[in-house]
Amino acid sequence: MSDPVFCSFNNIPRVFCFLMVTFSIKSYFFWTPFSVVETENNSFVCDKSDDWKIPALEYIEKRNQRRLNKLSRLVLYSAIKCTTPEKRNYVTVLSSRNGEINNALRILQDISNDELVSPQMFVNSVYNMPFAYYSIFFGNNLPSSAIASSESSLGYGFLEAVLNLKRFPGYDVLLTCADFPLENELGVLNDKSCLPYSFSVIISNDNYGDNRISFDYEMLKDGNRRNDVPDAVKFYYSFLKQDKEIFISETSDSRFTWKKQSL
Amino acid sequence: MNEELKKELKEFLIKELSLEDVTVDDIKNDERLFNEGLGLDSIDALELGVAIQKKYGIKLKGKSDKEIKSYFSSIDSLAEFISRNLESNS
Repeated sequence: MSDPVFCSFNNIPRVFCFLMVTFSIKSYFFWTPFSVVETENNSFVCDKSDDWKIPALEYIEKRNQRRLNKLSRLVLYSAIKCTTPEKRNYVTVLSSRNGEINNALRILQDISNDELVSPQMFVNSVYNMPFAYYSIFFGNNLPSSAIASSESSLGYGFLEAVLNLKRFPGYDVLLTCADFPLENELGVLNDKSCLPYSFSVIISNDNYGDNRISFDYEMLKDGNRRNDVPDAVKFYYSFLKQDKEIFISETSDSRFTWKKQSL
Repeated sequence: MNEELKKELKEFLIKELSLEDVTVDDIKNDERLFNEGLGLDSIDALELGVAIQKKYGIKLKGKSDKEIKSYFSSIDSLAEFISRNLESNS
């Protein structure tokens, strides 16, 4: 465990935050339309194309799907695959870098053009809407939250999820990280790490097989970041699918470390 | 009544309200659009009101709930309401 580090922020001395917790992973599911390959030097390459679509959603009546926008479909797809029809009740956390910003831009454009705003588009522009739909479709009555933290969205998503494990003992947490590249005028802001994906994971305080994970969070001052694919993509391919014992995500202001622990 | 406008309205409803499983032939001219019948709901009514204003320039502001319900009750009534307003605007 690292020692606390002191730093100065706007001339106010602060103690760097450090947190370490453990949890079990009960289930996970990842989807991206593209194939992703990890190279020998631990970077990732991805064969992107414009020709892709989100797979059909199961367990939701077709007529109930018509109001879902693309992000909601993406989130629900992996969330449904990660859970089972017998158990859909979870504390939920959505973490998305871009969230519903494509929708928000269209609303702002309508407003600036003095046009009426589509009520449906407005409803879907609310950041936590995907899990609101999940709650409605599956009768989930447990708390839900949604966060965004740029490149650190996976790490902060896990942080929110493990904090919810502590806040709501006895309940497992369904964390979904999902993103769409920015569209239209915002498209110029996409960096090369932008690709559509959806990753869901259920974490628990219970001991569950040998899937015990320790999770550390540290605030940093000058962290390094390599932008090849989103963290969730790396986390799935490098840490969950392979035998690697440790996964570190570092951005300019934070470091998140996941370690596999044998019981 | 203008059959072409009715067909256009059916296509308009399907597109604007994302009625993916519905075809033009599935919507009967005198069928109720809301609740029973096509099964549209209050969010659809809001969306439809906005879409009609954008496409036809017809505002529903100032109309009573009762009037709006009668305009939106079926394709027949919607077509009558739109053609009447288009005529009075031209």
